[in-house]
Amino acid sequence: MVVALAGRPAAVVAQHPCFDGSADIETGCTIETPRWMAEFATLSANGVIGGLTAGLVRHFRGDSFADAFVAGALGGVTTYAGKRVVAERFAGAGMLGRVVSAAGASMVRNATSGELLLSRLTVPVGPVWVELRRGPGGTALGARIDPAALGWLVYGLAEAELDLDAGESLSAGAAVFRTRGKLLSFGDDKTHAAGVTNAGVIFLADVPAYGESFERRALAHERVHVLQEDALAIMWTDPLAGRALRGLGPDSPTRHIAVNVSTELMRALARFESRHEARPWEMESIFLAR
Amino acid sequence: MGDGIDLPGEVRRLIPARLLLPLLVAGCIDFVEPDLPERGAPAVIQAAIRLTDLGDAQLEALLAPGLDRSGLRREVTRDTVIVLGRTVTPDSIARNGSRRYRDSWSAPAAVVAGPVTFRAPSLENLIASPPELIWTGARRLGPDTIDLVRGQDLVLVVGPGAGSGLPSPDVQQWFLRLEGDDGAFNISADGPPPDTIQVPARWIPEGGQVATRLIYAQSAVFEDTPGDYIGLITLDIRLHWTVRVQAPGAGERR
Repeated sequence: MVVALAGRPAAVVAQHPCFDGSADIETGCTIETPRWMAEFATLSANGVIGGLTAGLVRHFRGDSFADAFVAGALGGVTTYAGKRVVAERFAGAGMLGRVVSAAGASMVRNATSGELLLSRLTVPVGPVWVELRRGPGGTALGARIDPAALGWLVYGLAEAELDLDAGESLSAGAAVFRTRGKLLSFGDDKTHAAGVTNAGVIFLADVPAYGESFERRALAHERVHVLQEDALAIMWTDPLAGRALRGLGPDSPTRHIAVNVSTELMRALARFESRHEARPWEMESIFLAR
Repeated sequence: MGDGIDLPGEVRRLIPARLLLPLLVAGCIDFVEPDLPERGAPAVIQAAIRLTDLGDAQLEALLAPGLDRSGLRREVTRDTVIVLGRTVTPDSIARNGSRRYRDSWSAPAAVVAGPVTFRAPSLENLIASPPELIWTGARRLGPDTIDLVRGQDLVLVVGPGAGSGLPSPDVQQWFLRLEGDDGAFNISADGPPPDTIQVPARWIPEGGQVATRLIYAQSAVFEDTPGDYIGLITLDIRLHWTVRVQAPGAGERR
């Protein structure tokens, strides 16, 4: 049932007229499906992604699919809990939700690698991944640099069109840059966006004409994207890079560098679905932030 | 126990290419001016005032503050409509800043005579003044119930209202409706109602009691230079009579 419901959010939101392809898709819309059902479907989707990530990898390595699936699903559900919090409007919701979601993604990664569920926790703080490792030898706190996040942070600081919103960054648990009355556009893409998130750094179009409600919703929407990117990086891209570079042994750059290509991965996946509002991660963000 | 995963060789070969392609094409962000059709458009208020000699007063108004030339929403500095000295606050504010003002209240019957005053909300950064008016009303002279013998003409006497009538309404019309049990008769004309309205007997509906209503409608478009605050105001004043039509000789039989 959980697996069957995992695809439910797509059906729920895609049929609604507020996702009619207009540029204003992040405005509030009334979803006629009972909220509990949509919430449960979103929760299930996150659980299934966590469960399948861990279960399939462990299965290919000859371990129990079921055990890893359950542990991974638990992590996925925790990730959902973080997203649920991050979309709320209270001050600090972003930071709290990000920590909870990162803990969930860490649980999925640990389940995937066959470690104890809470043996290693990763929390992105700006361009640094703070990592807490617990093992027989005790607890160790470490840190790795996320070059992608660092790059976008430097870009935001250097770009004259953008201002860093320090207060909102603290509340969001992620760097938030604002334009001055302009929309965002990307290369040859004609879409004009109210916000974009790259490697956990939020760029927000500050257009007062759209009103405060729109801005709050756009910010909540982008905060959900931050968590999605965190999860992709912690669960998938960083472990993959670690695996690919493990031949380098102790000299592997992944000892000091977190490989976060979540933005690029999502951009690559976006090529398979041209409609912005039909992409699963957009559906989730729109639903949670509405 | 490692932190990596095992992947089939084919997938392993595909991943670098799939990941590198978007890395290469991922550019920075462009910044574009939003397309805001409302930018620089005037603020608009549309208001309808209705007064009756039965003591009913009603206001419905909608204010669209719009955006200034910079694309910033105009702030409403005095968020009230003032009608007949009564201050009406918005009962709803839309996401785009538009406001709806709705109120109905009991007023003295003489309110219809005027002067009827109206003052629109104030907005920041506008050159034109908020639309404001003092219009004259109309009043019924004589009793509210008129007894007629069938065959007699009906004569309604309307007195001029008070007030300066400034600025002059663009449109003034009056409508008279006589409604009996078995039919109705309507008459209308441009301008304010005349002092005396004489309705020929043959146009008075059959039936013992004829509800008679005079509507005096005034409207104007306010567009002070440079036209950045437009008002569309209508005033509707309603006077009522009850006309009792008796058959000839009915009075003597009683």
